[in-house]
Amino acid sequence: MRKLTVMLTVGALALSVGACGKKNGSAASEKELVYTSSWGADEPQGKLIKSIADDFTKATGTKVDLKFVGRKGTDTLPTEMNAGQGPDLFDTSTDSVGAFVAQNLAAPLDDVLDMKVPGEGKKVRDVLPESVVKASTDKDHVRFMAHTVISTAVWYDASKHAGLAPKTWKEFIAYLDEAKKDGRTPLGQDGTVNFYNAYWFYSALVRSEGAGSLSALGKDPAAWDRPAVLAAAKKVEELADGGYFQKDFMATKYPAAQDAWAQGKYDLNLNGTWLAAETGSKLAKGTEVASFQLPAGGKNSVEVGTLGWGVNAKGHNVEAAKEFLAFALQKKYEAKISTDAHNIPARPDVPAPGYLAGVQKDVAEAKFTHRTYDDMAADKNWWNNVFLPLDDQLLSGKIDAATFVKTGKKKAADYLASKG
Amino acid sequence: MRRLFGDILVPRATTVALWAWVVFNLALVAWVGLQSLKDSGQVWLSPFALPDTIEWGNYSAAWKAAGFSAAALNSTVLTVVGSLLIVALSAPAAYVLARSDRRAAGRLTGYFAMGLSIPVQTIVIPIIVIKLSVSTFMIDWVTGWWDNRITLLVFQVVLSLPFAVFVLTGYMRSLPHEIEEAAELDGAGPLRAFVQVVLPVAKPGVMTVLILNVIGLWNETLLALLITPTPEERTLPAALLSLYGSMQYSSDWGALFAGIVILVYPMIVLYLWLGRRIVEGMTAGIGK
Amino acid sequence: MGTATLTPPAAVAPPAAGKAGKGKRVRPARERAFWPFLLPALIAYSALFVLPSLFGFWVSFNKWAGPGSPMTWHGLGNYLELARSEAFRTSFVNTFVLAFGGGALVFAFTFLSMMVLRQVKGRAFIRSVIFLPMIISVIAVGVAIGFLLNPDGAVNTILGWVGIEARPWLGPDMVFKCIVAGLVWSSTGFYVALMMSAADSIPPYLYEDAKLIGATKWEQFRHITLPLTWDVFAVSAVLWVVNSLKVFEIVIAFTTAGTPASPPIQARTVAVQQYASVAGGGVPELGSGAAMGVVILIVTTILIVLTRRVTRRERVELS
Repeated sequence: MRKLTVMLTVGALALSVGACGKKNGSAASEKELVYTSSWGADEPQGKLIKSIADDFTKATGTKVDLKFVGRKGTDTLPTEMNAGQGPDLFDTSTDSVGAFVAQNLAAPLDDVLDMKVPGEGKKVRDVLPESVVKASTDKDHVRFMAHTVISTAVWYDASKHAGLAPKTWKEFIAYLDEAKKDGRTPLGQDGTVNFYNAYWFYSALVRSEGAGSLSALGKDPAAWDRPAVLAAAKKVEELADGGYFQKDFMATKYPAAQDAWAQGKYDLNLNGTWLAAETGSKLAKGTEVASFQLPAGGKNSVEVGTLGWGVNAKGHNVEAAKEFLAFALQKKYEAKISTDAHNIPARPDVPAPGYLAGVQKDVAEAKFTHRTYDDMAADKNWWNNVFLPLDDQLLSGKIDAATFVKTGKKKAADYLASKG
Repeated sequence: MRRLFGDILVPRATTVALWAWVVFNLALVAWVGLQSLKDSGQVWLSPFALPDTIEWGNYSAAWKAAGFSAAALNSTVLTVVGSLLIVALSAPAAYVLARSDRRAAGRLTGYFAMGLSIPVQTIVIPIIVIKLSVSTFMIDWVTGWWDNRITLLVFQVVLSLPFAVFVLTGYMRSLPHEIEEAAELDGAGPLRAFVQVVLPVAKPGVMTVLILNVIGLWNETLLALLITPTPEERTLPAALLSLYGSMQYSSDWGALFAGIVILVYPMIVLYLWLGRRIVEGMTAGIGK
Repeated sequence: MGTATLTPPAAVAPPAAGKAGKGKRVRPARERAFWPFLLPALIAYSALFVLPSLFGFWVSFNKWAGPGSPMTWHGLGNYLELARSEAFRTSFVNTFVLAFGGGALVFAFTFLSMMVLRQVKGRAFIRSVIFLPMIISVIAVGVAIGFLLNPDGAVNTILGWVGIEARPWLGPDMVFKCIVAGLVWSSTGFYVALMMSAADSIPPYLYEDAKLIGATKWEQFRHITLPLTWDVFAVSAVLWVVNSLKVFEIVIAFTTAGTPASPPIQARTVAVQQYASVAGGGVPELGSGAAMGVVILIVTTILIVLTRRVTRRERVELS
């Protein structure tokens, strides 16, 4: 009945969705991989992907149809994949893969771990560390192959503040106070990007309490009652009240604040490991980018997220796509993630750029790790409609920590009830 | 008091405000033009200064980056073909709706006007479904290929129809009745009478619809993002967005402003050239 | 639907009654051409605009992630969830604020402009230049906005020159006001052009008479211009209502253009909220998105009927 209605309303066109008889026989498309990338063709990652694709075609004869659609171009990607028109390969990350899994679009890639990386005599399993695979895995399966490790840290210029590494929250605040007293702006924040604002509360809570402590807030109103939640909110409140951010930071349109940080106008910026790469061309002369983990105490958990490639479960060439993944993980390509894209490669045997070595070490040695945003972003309604707006209020100083917790608990209850 | 208020204070203040508004608009357009000729450092550091050296290179940089050349071609073709199609479909329809005595004519005019009140977003979902289905259908069953730009064209045309029919119906009603009767008495068929007699007389209204649609299609972004996301299929607004997105690693602000100029200035030139006519036809179509 | 009332008033050229008889006798060519001329537009519009809208209506009663995934009946569930969602309620209120607040500003400016634009020097020039923002791509505006409105951007710099304190224009509390201002800036020129060209055809002697009896400019506008352009105002008001309920791009331009972040909740319109539910990460919720579309359609229809009613009641016949 439902199918019938679709046909009637959209017309006979809907018939072809899922139809099998084809004029354009599938034989022609079998030897071609389609890859829709959310990188730009001119970005270092885009150029790297292009060279991998070219080499892959040379090595295997399988053509790769590469489309660089940019960040905005992938808004409707899941819809297209669902309709059987998506690419074989797509870009994804720890915090975005959940949506693909929920729609059965991310093919399980456990078997890729046992495939051989061409020319190296090693299995994929042997070149990727467990923490990286874990960040690309949901509760059942490996969902994508990582090429880049991402994490969050506080960034500064070591040429001005050599060896800055506050060990406790107190030391951190003491540094901020000192910088303020010297007439500097201690913290730069692109306040119009709400998920960057959320770094503060998220880092303060999850670094101390470990994986699961943030995502629980969207699943159980009682989770807001834990003292650690209030404590983390208090820390953010302290930042908001202390006037450590640049003036009117909530009105700063990205990327003005991170650019100004790169120019040396602010001491610190809490951001992802891509920060130096993004601001690369704007870094003031002589800047030595360095970082430390936001001091939080407790478990001292470190964020390990990954960027990588997923395989469309409804794609036409799942096997060839998997072959591409093993091919792309060769050391020579991973090296480019470090040298050209200035990010942390997923393979630990490829050194990260100098200024990221510290984070790479933190990631490798961490006793506890958690995933990007503790997976809270997977529930986009909760994340975009409830949590991020509430967090913005806390960071901008409009509500205090106690109100944040009280309101959060109530909103969580309302939200769960509205989902029915 | 009444005289002070109604004859001096309010009119004077309004006049000043209007001129301030005019100055602001012109300054803004000129400012964007100037920015596009500066090097990136100067764009940031001295946004109000004249360019030190004129950087025409910004234009070639913008043109190459983000596929502006392909986008300019796409936008031009889509805009020209699309607005001509809109007129070709709406003008005859509006003509018979305006001039027929049938009861159906009134109802159908209302039926078209109803489309004015349907927000594009309402049908975003069906549009995605149709886009996917059409391309699968054409590739698998009919032609063996399909280009999403055709889908984009079709939807941009169809979504513009209600406004075009609405304005043109109003305009056709205002035309004197003698014209086509004269033509018909000459024994001309309906098509010939329409093309040779009615269209020339209705030119101001048709031009208005054409120009408003050229502007509308040239700037249309939502459908373009949804239907044609790949770089080869992109239109100029989408290309500008993509250029803006890539600024975070290239920081070529001069080129970004050159991109804005490439998108905005052609419409300004068109408007300077034909602006007067938009206004003429608009009154007759919507106004009376 | 009440939208049928959108039909432009045929006041100026009603089908001349005297000639109707003749038209019946010899069935005119244009009557034979009725269907051939009408059908292409009618079919395209019905098949690709009206039917999809009806399909959207159907989808709004289901849970659906898109073609290829199962559609499950959800009844009024999507609508109930919207009613309970604070984010949607905020976006709904914002849309109304935009329609009424923005509309009040647009027509206040339009009326004031009409009062002086009849005789002021350079009026043709002013009219064309204030129309200009209408033809500028909102995306281009959005790209330049960061330059202009950032805390240390051009606007605050200029304000600094005259000693006014910098303001957080793009902050969550002010950005929506800036969006309304931007919308008023970009659309007022259109309505001024529309209503002024109607005012142009008012015979000058009416104003001369008014001057003789000592009417101020405001009174001339109030008692001559406005009543005689009331029909155009009625249509303009409807056009404004229709367009303001669709506002989408300008919000993105002022807030998150260039980033995947969601606009602050204080600035979202229903269209923005809807786009987020349909595209832009996460599982697409087409049912919920379609329900938002239906809500907006209903609101639009109600507002059009109301606008028509209000503008009809105040109509003054002068001539």
